[in-house]
Order: sequence, then structure tokens, then C-alpha cells
Amino acid sequence: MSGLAVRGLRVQVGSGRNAHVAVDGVDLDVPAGTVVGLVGESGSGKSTLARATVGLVAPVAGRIEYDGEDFAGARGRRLRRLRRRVQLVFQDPRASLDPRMTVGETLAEAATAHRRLGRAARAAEVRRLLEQVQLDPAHAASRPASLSGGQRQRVSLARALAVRPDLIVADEPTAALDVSVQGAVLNLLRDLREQSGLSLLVISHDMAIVRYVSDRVAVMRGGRIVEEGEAAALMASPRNDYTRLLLDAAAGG
Amino acid sequence: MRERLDLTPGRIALLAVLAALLALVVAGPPLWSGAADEIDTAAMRAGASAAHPFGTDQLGRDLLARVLVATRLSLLLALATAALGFALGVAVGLLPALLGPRLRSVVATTINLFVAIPGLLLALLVATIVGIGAKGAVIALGVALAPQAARLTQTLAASVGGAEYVAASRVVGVRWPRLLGRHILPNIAAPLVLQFAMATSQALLALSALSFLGLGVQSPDYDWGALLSVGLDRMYVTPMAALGPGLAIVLAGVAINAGGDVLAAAIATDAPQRARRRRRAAGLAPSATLAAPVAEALADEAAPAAAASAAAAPAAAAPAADAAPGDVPAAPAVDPAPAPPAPAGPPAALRVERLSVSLPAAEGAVTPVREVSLTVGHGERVGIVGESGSGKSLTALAAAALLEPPFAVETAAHEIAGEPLFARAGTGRRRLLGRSLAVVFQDPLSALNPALRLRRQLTEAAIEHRDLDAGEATEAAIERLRELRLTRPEQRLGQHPHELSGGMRQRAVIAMGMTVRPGLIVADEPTTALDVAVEREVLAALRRANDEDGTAILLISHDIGVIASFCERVLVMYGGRIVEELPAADLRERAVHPYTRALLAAVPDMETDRDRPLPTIPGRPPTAAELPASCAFAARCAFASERCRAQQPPLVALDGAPGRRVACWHPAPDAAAPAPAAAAGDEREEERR
Repeated sequence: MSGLAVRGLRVQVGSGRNAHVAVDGVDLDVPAGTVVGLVGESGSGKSTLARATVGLVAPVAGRIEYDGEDFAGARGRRLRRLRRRVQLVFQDPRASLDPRMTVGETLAEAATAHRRLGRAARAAEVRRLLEQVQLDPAHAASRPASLSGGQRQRVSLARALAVRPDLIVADEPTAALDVSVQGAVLNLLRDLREQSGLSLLVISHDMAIVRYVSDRVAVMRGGRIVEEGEAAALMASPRNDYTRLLLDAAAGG
Repeated sequence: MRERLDLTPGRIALLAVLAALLALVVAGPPLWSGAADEIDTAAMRAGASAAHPFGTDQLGRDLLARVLVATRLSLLLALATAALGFALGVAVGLLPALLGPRLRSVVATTINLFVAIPGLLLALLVATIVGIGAKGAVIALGVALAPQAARLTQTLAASVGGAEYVAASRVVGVRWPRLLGRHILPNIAAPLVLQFAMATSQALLALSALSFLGLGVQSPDYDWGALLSVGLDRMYVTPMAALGPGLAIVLAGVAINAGGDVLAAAIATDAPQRARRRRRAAGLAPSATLAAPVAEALADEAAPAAAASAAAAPAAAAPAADAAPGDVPAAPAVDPAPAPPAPAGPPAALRVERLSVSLPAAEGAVTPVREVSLTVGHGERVGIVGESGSGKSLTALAAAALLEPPFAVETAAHEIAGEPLFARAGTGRRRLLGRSLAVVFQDPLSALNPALRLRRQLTEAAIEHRDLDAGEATEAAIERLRELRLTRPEQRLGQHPHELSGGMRQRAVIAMGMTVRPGLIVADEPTTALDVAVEREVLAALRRANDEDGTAILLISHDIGVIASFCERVLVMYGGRIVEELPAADLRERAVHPYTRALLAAVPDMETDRDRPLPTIPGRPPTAAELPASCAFAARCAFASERCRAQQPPLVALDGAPGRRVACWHPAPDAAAPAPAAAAGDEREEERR
């Protein structure tokens, strides 16, 4: 199967007495070209799952297959090969951008991590990336501190795009943003998918956001996927009580 | 720049000294080595004179010249020592950041082991191996320095190495040399430089001591320590012979430290610390704990403001704020409509007229809350909704009299339960606040003392303010917890806060506030840190307090959905002002302020059309320092005219709509003409109808 296929994934976080199983036997598919929404509350293990898909945490069991190749526990060269295909956008762009580097440096670093680019090509690539996320190319010289939250999140999206991945995992991409600017980031995610055929795994605690961007939805609770299905169908007739609770909360809000 | 680097006159003087010392390192020996080495048998052991201000040594050599010449050797040896120590230490200290978990702990343990060995012992050990002399001293002291440097580096690198941006770079595929060079080292450079400067001055002292004892620099070479030992036996005859080199050592040590401070500050100011520094420079004391979340919000933090910290005191025992009316600049002459008068009957739980909050900043005072008038009626549920930086939290804190300097709060009237707050002072005010008001913050842990069992925390306010005895207060607390649907309330009282889940804690805080049966609970983002299911429990608890005790609730949230479903009346804040006030039932369909409408449209809900892009609001919310004298939303508003950009619209009653106020020159006609900024959203609503 092309795309991401997670099978029986088990991830433990912490060590010794504080260890606990954050992801407990998860099966999840993100077929090529689709947008899958993963919804759940804080502590449900969805961020840990996101980190596992790019090899930031190693699973204790299970498989993380990409285009049929298993990358669970990959290191070194194999891990780099995975990360050429799967990129992660972190929740808080303020924390995930190096405060000392300009936007251009951050993007150039990502663009050259897997490819050699001359000076001119690098500048052109930075420009292209900024335009792709609808930022003024002049921002290449800015530092993250001088950008707004929404702009910063677009920069971190551009950084993920710089690697030219097939799949982007976006972990709560709007949770750290002001309400009035999060819409622009959601629109951008939709546009990217339409323009470049990118697959997306969008993680959020907010059912309305997941509903808005996703083709398929998976609901996670206590480290497990409790329900998964085509977005409209799942919203219309949820089978799991917890899904229903989330839907009620979203509708009431 | 000067302010950024903390350049006080004293520090500038020390920097001048440092520059002079560096000049001496370069120019001292060529200029004065002749005089320093010139043997004058006619003036052996001479006292201080015009020709020899510091006197001469046993061979008649001029001691002043020798002190000047010795600058080079003294400082270079000290630098070499610190450099050796830090080169070793930083290299070893960075290892754990690169290694896997098992090797990491081996290295960390080794570092710890070496830190535990006294530096002097280590130095003596190394000196025995390398031998006495300048080289031996430098190597010995350098090696002795290394464990400390390694430990510091390890700690710093661990914190930066755990940062999201390092993880992000790893995911992108950045290799470790670059990770170290571009991301980790630059971000730990400032404290390392500071520590390096301190190590250099310590090394100077230690090397001088060794030379003084004859274990360091050996004749015919000489450093300040060696000169000191020459001069000391004539201390009483020619004081300058000993004081000269001594003074040089002290002065150099202090100057090097000052240089380190400035260099570290220059490095640090490149990064986000800049904002923090500025704030500190502006006197926004980070120690004012309540100020912390607010200052965060002011600094244009997109993230929901961090929770108020521990000073957020047991909710019921609201600390008396000394928020004396400060020198708030008079706001532009607009005459806001007063808050609607409270209906006859019990006095309003809260009434604030023309509340402004300002605080000093580098560019003059900023006023993040401006002319806010609001009333919370007896038993009413009122919500304030706004984005970060809108001033909503500051408004709530000021209303609860919880703001302390440097915040200056100014009100035309401030009544709690019908009683003017500022007519009372000290104890009287504290009792009024304690009995009539409870505050619930975002983070319940900040309001609970982790060391005390709940029993103590849930009863002390009732004992203090309601004159109950311990038994009655316990009964009341159990009753409260039961009402809030906490399971096994008797047992909960015996537990510590950490034994409860987040939702239970927040309900315990609400119970704590309710034990005094206050007329008003101010809840600032009480559910932001909580999950959906728990959020419901907490809101239900607040609702129960409202239903059963008639406690009025002032709920502050960025979540327009929470506000709309919980409150009866909604105040929308933007740029420090109330821009619209309306019944919650009217919020979704009948809001008239362009901001309110755009905000509602920008948030996807379960009805949003998935095939259309979300309507967005261009730009971003202004920070407190950016607030214009005109409409703060004008820059992002599709309706803005010249007037909007020139004049602040007053908050006035909306014609023919009781209980509604709006501050806009061009309010959208009620439930008609869709706002262009929110066009898609409104069409969507049309479709739904």
C-alpha cells in the first residue's frame, strides 16, 4: 500500500517508575493523497503517535510502514530516508523555530538537509517556499520573534515542505494560534493538499477543525483508536460513546 | 543598545579598565620591558619616589614597569587556563547531547564524579604529574576547572537539546555537527561566556596565588603573583610595592567579569530573551507573579497566557491589592456610555466604571485596558471573550482587585456587592473582597498549596470570613464538594492536590471559592487547560454555584463557544476595550461589530462548509504597545473609513436594543448585510436558515 500504515504501534514514554504506555496498539492508515484527522484530548497519546511517525520516539512494538517499508526503530540512514518522506509540523511554532536563526536560514537549512543547493538556488528555494505558504519573501530576513503566531506557523509548515515530503503530520497546528489567525493556517493546509497532492495527518483536540480539513477521521483515547471512518459518515453516525461526547461538545460550542 | 546591555556608569568604567588591560597585554612589554629589566645597583630596594612610584626590587628594577609588563603574562596565563578548562569541559559536556541514553548516563555519571572531587585536590594531582612552573600551573588549574564547565555545558545543552526547535531540525534531517554548531552552541553561548569570564578571573587569582607561593611562574619570568611576593616583605616600608600588583589582580578580575557580563548580554539579546530583558528593564518585575501571564499576553504571545502562578493565593482570600490610582494618561475624550444600570433589587455583584490599567514600559506607559465599564448583576452570568492581548484577563484581575504594581489601575467607580472598594482600606477591603469574591484561574494547581491537604485549604476561608468553627467548616466543605459532584468528598479532604485529576482540582478550587458563599466568582480561562469532558464538569460546577447560591459569574475565555453557551450576556474585547456587548442569545446571529462577526465566522464549527475556504481576518491583534488612539480594529476591518483610523468610536447603546452596546463607527445593520470580512461565513449562515 502506498502511504503510511501504522500497525500495532506501542510507544512507551518516560522511564523507570514514570514510564507509561502512551500509544497502546494503534493501527492507522494515511493513504497517499488523503487527509486524515486524528482527534483526541490531551493525554490521549496523539502527539506521541505523531512523534513516533517521524522517529522522534522509538516504539516498543509495532510497525511504522511507509510505502510498504517498515521504519519502526529506524536509525541513521534509514531514519533519514523516512524523514525525507514524512515531516512533522509542531504545535507551537514559537518553540519549534530556533530564535536565533532568520526565517531564510531555517528554510535553507531544511532545503539543504537532503540535497545540495548552490547559493542562488538556495535563495530561490527559500523564496518559493515562502510564496507557497503565502508569506512575503521579504520575511526571509526576519527572525521568528518579529512574526505573528500565524506567520510563524506558516514558516514551520514551509520548513516541512522544504524537504519535499509525501506526508506531513501536523500536531495541533492551530492550538497555539489566536482565533483570528488560525483560519488562515487551516486554509493553507487545504490549499497545499489541493495543489501538491500532499497527504496530511492532522492532529487536533477540536472536532470542528478535524471535520473541516479531513477526508477520514480517527478518534483516539487512552492510547487507542476507538473509532475510525470516513469523515462525514463518522460525524453523522458515531458508533463510539466517546466520539459522540466529542461531537456533542463541538456542536454545543 | 545601552539599556539592552545594562551599561551603567560603573560598568562602563570597568570596560575602560578592561580595554586598558588588553592594550597593556599588547603594548606593555615592548614599551616598558627595558625599564623593567634595567638593573640599577644604586637604587636597590628603593622606596616609592617620583622616578619609581612603586619603588624598586632587590636589583633596583622599577616595580611599576614590572607590574605593567607582567600584565601580559598574568592575563594570558589566566586566559589559557580558562580556555583549557572550557575546551575540555564543553567538549565532554556536549557528549551527552549526542549519545544514546545508555552512554549518556555513563558520561553524566563520570562528570558528576569529577565535580565531586575538590578542585584543589585535582589541581595538586595534575601538578604533581606535570611539574611545577607556569605550564604545570595552567594545566593543573585548567583540568581542575573542566568538571564544572562540563557540568554546566551538560545542563545547558540538555535543556536546549530538548527544545522543540532542535527536534524540528532533527526531523528535517539536519546532521549532528550542524545541530551542535547552529542550534545548540549559539543558544547556550551566553551563560557559557559568563561562566568563562568568571573562570578566567578565578584562574587569575589562583595562578597569582601559586606564583606568590613560588609554585607558579618561575624566575626570571614574573607575573603579578610573583611581584606580590617580592613586594610583600616590604609592605610596611613601601606599601605600593605590594599594593601595586595586588590592585592589578583585583582590578583585572573585576574588569574581566564585567566584560563577560556585557558580552553575554550582547549574545543573549539576539534571542527571545530580548523581550524579557526589555520588560525587566521597564520594571515589569517578573517577581510580580500575577503579572507574569499578563506580561506574556502583552508580549504578543499567541499561546494562551500561562497560568497565574502560586501567588494566585487561595481563591477566597483575595490579597488586597495596592493598586493605587496611578498616573494613567487621560484617555482621549470619548464619552463611553455607562454600563446599563443594574435593575432594582440586590446590588450588582460587580460594577466597574471606566477601568484603565496601565504599566510603565521602555517607550512610556502602555495602557492595555482602556475605559472599560462593566456591570455583573446579582446572580448574572457574564462572559468576556477576546484574543490574547485583548486585555480581558487584566480586566478580570483588576475587577477582582488582584493587580499589584507595576500595574496602575484607575477607575471612576469600583463597587463589589454595592460597596465601593476604595472607600475601604487594609483589613476592611480584604474582608469585603474575601467575603464577596472568589477567583478561579486557568491552572488550579496555582491556586492550591501542594503541601497542604484539601481540608485545610477548603476550610480556612470559611473559618476566617464566616466565623465557622473547624467542624462546621469541614461540614460545609464536604457539602460543597458533593454539590460539585466530586466523588467521595470526605476522603478528598484528606488528600493533597497532586492526588486529584485536573478536573477535580479545578472543582476543588471552585469549592474553595464557594465556601464563603461569595456574590461573585471571577473565572479566568478556567477550562482552557482541561479536556472536553472535564471542561463540562467544571462549567457545570460553576453553573451549579450560579443556580443554587445565586452566585454571579464573570467568565473570561478566548473560546467564543464556551462563552456563548455558558453566559447570559457577552462582552467582546479587542485592543483593551469592550467593542460590543450583547445577550449571548444574539451573539451568533445578531452581532453588529465587524470584529465580533469576523471572529465568529473565522472559527470552524460543525456546520462549516468544507468546500469553501474559511473567512479570515487579515493581520494580527495589536499588542498593548501598538494600540492606536483610534479604533484598534480599523487596520484589519473591511469597513474601516478615515474616521475609524482617526477617532476612537465610543461604546454606545445600540438604538432600539436594550442591553446592547457597540463601539463602532460603522456597525453592520443588525442581522442583515453580511460583513465582507466574514462574507463566506454569513453566506453559510444564510444557507443554514
